[in-house]
Amino acid sequence: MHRPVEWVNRCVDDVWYAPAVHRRTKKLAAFAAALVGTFAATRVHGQPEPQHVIPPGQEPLLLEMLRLPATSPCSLRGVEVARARVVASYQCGDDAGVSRIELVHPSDAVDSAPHTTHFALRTPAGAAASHALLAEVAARVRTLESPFRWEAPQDTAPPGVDDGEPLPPDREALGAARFEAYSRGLELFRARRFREAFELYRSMAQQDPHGGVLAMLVATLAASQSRADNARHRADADRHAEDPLRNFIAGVGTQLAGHQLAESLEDKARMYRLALRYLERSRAYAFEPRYEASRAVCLFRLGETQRARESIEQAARGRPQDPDVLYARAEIEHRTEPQRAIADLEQYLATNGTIGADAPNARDGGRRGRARRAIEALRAIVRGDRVSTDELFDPVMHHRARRANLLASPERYAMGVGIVTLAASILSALAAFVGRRRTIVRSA
Amino acid sequence: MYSEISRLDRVQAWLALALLGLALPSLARAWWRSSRVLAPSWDGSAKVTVLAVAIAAVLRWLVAPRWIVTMYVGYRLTREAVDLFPVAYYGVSAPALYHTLFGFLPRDHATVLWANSIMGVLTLPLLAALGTRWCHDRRTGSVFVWLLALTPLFIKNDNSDANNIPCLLWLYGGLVLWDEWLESGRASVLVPSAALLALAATARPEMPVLLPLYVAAGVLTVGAPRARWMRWQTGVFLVALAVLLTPQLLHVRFELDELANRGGAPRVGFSLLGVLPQLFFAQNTVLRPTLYPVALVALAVSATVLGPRNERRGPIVIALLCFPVIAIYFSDLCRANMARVHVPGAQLVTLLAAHGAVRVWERGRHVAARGALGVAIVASAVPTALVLWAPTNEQTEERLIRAALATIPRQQSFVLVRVGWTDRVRESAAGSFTHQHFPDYLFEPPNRAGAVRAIADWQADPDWSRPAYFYVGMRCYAQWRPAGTPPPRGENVLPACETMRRRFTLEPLIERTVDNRGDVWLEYYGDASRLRLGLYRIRPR
Repeated sequence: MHRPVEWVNRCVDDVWYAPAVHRRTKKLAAFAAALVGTFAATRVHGQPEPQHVIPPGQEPLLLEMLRLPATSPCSLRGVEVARARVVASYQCGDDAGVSRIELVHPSDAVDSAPHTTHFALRTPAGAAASHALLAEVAARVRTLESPFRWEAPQDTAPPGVDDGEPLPPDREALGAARFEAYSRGLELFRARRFREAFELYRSMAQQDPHGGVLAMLVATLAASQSRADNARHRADADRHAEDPLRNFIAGVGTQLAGHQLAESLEDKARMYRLALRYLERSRAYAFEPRYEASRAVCLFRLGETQRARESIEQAARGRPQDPDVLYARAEIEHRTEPQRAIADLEQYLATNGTIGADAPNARDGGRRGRARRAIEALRAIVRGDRVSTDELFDPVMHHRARRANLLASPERYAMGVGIVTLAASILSALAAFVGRRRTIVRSA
Repeated sequence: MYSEISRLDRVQAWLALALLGLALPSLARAWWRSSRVLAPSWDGSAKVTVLAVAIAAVLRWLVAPRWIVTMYVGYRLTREAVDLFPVAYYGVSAPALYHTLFGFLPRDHATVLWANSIMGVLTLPLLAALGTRWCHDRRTGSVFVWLLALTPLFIKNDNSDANNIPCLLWLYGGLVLWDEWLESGRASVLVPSAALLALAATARPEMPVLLPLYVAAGVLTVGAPRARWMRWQTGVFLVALAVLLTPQLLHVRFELDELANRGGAPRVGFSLLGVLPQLFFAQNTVLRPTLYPVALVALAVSATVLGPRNERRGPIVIALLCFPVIAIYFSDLCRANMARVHVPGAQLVTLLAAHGAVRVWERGRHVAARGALGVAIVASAVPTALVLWAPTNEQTEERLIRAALATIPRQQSFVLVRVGWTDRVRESAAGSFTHQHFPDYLFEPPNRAGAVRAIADWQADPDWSRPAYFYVGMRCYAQWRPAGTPPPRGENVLPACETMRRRFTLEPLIERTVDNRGDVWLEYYGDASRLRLGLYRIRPR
């Protein structure tokens, strides 16, 4: 389902980031893309938004519901789960063509269609199914559909978010009760209900931070944190300097904000320095590999490569297959050990592909896009080509104009002080003049 | 940048901007008031005071050297002022002042040193006016300004990176105007007074505690009648001050929590009270003849006992104020910063000494007695000058940094490798206290096109794409030790520096074998008599 989108993304990335593409060409392309995008958006906007969507994680149940028993003359050939419908393909006999049945929410179908508790069944034109097949599938769906649930569509993640890398639950580490809660959080995450997922994992972490709960907090922060969120988390941590959880959230969140939202290299450096300050206060959570991964990235970006290495190796010892750790290690090692970085990135893509297929994508193709580009660049470096890797892993948001403000530089600050001085001097002189006149008038 | 600064830091920075904008006209008003107090007419006393200020300027600007004090910490203070965010541990206003200066002057600690030197001189008329009013004697003001102008402790402090210099300028400016309000009842002076006092209180973490004491001392010393200051304008003034100080109080609280988390919290509260008497004698700059002229201490004591009984009120209040102003620094004091942080207390003691000198002068009418008084002051000041300006390894480091800057081609993009925090000896917990602050900003944009890296980071990931230089400074031979421990044998060279020599070919661009001045202020260096420093071009082996 996601393949065409991914393919388009990849093509756009490949063209956009090709060194040969001239800046002017890019501008033209951007203009054309904006035109096309606006047109497409108006077209898409014209289509009704579904009122009910299928949350991820129910694919096995759907498969089970739609698979017919061996005694049936028809067999299931494939199931395609879309956002608001399921399409099942059947073949009844060797020579017969493929029949398709669409399962949609009852409110999205005409009343005459066969209904179950959760679905209305309909047959698309061109691949219509027989009434017998429809009846058989409806009967099977009715017997198995009770765990299924529809959801109201959620807002998409805010602009500027990056990929979150969810972590599969570990039943042994979590225990039965927490496993359930963790899985529910994962479902929320996959359904892009990041804030709910964040709150769930935060409350879990308050009780017990082990078992990957902190990793999921990082994933939800990466996926959904806005500037305002980060500012709130930092203020919260500042008020509770002794609370490792609050400082962990502020530290990791600030590192992510530096990575995702910073508008200049200086801004990034400042954010990473801040992040280290909070991470230092949440040392109690150093057992979580994503703590060390976050810290390692900050250290690396601040020029402390050796400490960054020590930190990321510690993270890798804790959870060698963690996608965040793999990505961070590739980032740290990409200059000195490009081969190893390539291997880490490939493993990252493989791991992230299976675990986080539904992870939201973000600017410049998200982390997966950057990982693919990094692999290409590193392969070119290994071949001996001269390729810049300056902003491969940690690009600056150039498109965001820096806000003009007096706190931005010493020059601007001095200008601000100068303006106030001038205003105060004029006011003082006026006050002195008025005061003197009054005195003269009074004495006269 | 703007959006990622914490809200408290942003509030503080805006507040400092507004207050700094008000500072210049406010200070102008304070100096005008000082001139009225010190020289209502252009008489002999006024001329003597002006001459003292002129000599102070010559000594500070032309004679005495300007050095970073407190073991390289000035480099960190300058870095904090360049960045402004996050707001420095001490408070916002001093870094904000330097940040403003960096808007039109070089981003260099030399700018800070020069600014402090100028502010130190500009503080003198304010202090003299305050002394005159608090002791009810113009002669005291004149003697006071002479003592301030010539005492080595104050000259050295003014020519340093100490962030209490702007703080004291604002404090005394605010107090001079507060005093004008008490004398004249002119409410308009409360606005500039509040601006200056708020700036002073946001420059240092202890100032919010001391400020009410200074303000109260202002009332008590001049004996202002209750009707004069118990007015609604005073209430508004105090409320405005409290509002302006709130961000600083929150900031200090946060920073104290931060220090406590790192296990470096200063001693506060009852734990300090218990050791106060012992520390008062053991770590008091004023009571150390090597730092502060002992004759001035004797004169200060005499000020509280000599003279008519009805004129002792001012000196006794000042003497009482000395105790908290000196004692508050016992919470976090070491030999290296004593001569800096006790300056406000020493200034009050000097005021008492000036008053005492006037009293002694009155009593000892014989020329020999008066001559003995002058000789005693000068004789007790000489040893302090020898200690305060003793040559140090830190001064050698500063000279080498300047030489390195001059050697590296101005337009060249380069990497400078120097000792950083990652290069400390990990096996030694104490070694991590060594101040590794380095003026990176001198080598980085916009000053130069360089990048500065620690040795460990360079060794892990050498960058040969541009010229690389290895700076072998004093920190290659420095490791902090607890006070009183003997120096290690030999050069005490840092393993990271040694590794650089082994792993790479180092071509000397500057190479100096210098005297090891040893542990003048902190225990850092080995006992080798000579150390080899330099700047080297790094080549792969």
